[in-house]
Amino acid sequence: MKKEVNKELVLKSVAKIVTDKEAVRSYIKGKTSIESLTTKGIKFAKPL
Amino acid sequence: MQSHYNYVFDEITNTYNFVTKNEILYRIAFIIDETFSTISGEEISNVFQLIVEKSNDEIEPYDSKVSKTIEHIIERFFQKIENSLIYICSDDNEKAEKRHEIFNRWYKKSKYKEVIIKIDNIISISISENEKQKLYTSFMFHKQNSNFEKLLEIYSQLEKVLNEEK
Repeated sequence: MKKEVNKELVLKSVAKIVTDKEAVRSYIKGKTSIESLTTKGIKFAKPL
Repeated sequence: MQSHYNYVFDEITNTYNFVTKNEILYRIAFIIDETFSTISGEEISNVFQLIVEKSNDEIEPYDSKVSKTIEHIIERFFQKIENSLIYICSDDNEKAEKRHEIFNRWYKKSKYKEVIIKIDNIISISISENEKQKLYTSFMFHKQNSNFEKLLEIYSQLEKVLNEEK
């Protein structure tokens, strides 16, 4: 892969990890709809 | 006696659920994380973010079976060696550091540390113009993961950028 990483992209990606988590926590507490998560591009998985 | 609670996957909420002896409902979600793909420009699959949350704000007395249940889920998750996991400790009540330590203690005691690599990183991100938030993050993956070197390389690049920001 050895290429220069786009700093802005990294910061944006990490910020998305955090905001996705907060959105899912809010969903679990019944404060956010599943549609809202879908709009944000959040996809649930069933890895077990 | 079983050391963890029984949990089931709820097809409606897409979460793994269990109820404690104090009748508190926990939901555990895995969401697909595309950070590694986005940063590398390559398709890196089977990366997930783990989110653990109670369904309400009720304060629960200490219950060791809760962490045992989460451990059980993580251990099962890594039975598939291609899986990798991002976990961020929440800073509710400014307890992120404590949660991070508890998670780390579990890892150190776990037999899985022989096969699961855990890399921690404490980062600061700007949440507003004048305010920064400290994040306690962990990234975990199996030693036999076929993307082992690629994951490490991407992560180290990611870490480098984030550490520059500290």
